[in-house]
Amino acid sequence: MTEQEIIETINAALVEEFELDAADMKPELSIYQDLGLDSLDTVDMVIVLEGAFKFKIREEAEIKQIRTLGDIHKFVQRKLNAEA
Amino acid sequence: MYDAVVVGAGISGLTNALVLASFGKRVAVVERAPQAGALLRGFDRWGVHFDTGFHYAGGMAAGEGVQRFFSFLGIADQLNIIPMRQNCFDRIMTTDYRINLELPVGAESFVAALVAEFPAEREAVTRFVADLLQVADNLPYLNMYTQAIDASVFAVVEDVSLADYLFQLTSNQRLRQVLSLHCVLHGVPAARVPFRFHASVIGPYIRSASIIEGGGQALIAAMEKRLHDCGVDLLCSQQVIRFHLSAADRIDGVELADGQMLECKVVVCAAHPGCVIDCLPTLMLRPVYRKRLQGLHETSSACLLFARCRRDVELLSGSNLYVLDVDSPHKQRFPFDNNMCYLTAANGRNNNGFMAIVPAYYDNFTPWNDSLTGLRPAAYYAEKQNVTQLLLQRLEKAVPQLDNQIDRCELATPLTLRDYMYSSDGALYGAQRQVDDYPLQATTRVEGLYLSGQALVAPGVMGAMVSAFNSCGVILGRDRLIGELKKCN
Repeated sequence: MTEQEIIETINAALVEEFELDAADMKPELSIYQDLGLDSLDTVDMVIVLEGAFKFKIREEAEIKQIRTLGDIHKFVQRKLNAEA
Repeated sequence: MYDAVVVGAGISGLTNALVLASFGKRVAVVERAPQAGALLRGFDRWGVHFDTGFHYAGGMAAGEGVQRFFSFLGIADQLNIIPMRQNCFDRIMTTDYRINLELPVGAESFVAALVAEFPAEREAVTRFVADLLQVADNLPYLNMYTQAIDASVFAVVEDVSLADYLFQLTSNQRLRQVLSLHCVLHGVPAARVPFRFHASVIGPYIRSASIIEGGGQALIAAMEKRLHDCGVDLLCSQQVIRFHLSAADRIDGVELADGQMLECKVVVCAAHPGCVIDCLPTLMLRPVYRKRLQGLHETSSACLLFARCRRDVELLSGSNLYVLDVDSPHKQRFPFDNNMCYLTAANGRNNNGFMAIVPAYYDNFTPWNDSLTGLRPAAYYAEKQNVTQLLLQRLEKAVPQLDNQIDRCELATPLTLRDYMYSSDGALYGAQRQVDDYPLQATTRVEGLYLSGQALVAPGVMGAMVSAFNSCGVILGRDRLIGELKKCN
């Protein structure tokens, strides 16, 4: 998977599962302030990512650090690199 | 106008209602069945009372967590707690008669009994019991100094299955089977149940195992009386069909099937969490969350044999029996995926009857899916008769004390359970918790809507009560609730 494909997969999954606007999927946007997720959505976000990439996420501390959509992209990329 | 409407009048719903009422809230409970606590009430047949819902529980001895809950709820003085047989609250037998294990109360005795049966496994048994108790002794609200349940869902999901845990623990297959028998108490197979979840259900029995005099009926009667005293409205034969939302998308009421509206600020759903989907406009829940609710796996179903005996069965007096089938010749014909059977006295008072529970597949009864209790086709009754005969043969062979003792019996199938408890697929304990699943939390994205019940914490009277205290802790503030709970004993 290329970097671009990874980003597209993440964006498409979040758009579908959180009913977000595809035009809003800009990496610099805050998932909380701009995209309207709240702390309750964190677990659901993890579930969406696990479903999209068929891996298990157990990095609680890293997940809690995520602020922007770009942070999610980087997190998934790091994880896929580590697994490769 | 209510402060809170609780959906479902099982133990969890009633506990939620009483806790909220004790904080001065005006509460209504809505129940679909004609009476509260349908399963706990049991039924009478052939002069025997069958206590279907409540067999035994941990945590009820003096000074323990459930006993403190009873005090808090104002029902402790109406409940007479009777300890199970201290030297054998559970008995485990194998069908080859090689094992006849008496499990006593107390960590050291419990270990010693298992070691006597499996002398080479001292280390494994000791570790197993220590690990069970590590979880059981630190259950939130039962232990008032434990962190809140919602603190970290990651810690929960990280868990291994009981089967994997046992595989690491010991190479002795018989011991692994024996230590998996208690899965019938939560309805999730060893390969799927998270170890910590299993420990939270089973561990407390090692500390104490008791029944309530008068069983589930007595517990329900005490709770109903208290509801009445606290001014809680209990609306039975009523179904919540819609949660009503304000313009700001906040809960402001519920609509009942008969058209009645109940205004309220908070809804606690203590029914199956999946119910929430039908009661809310689609857009209120994220697709991912809706899928989680829809995708909940159900706990196993079962066939239950209710039997009257010619004489008292001394074996089941103050003691439960787990029969491990080690030579299962019926496997092909039996609609059961499991090699075990759980027997318990019909009720705490008399031993002239018993209930046998065998985990079973709902799928085996799907041909009669559309039929209702009392109105099923002949083929269903024929299958029921067939299963009854197989089960009787198996029981009479495995348990010599029952040979030629059963004079009347009747089988409940997964369909019976479905229609009696409104549980989908006849699930014994509702939605199941399994490895890799993130547990549902009490808080939802809908302001004023909370989840509660066994699907969130654990099944059984204890689990349902803990889940209720947990949900009320989220609503009222955990420290405030713990503060009040600490005043009880």
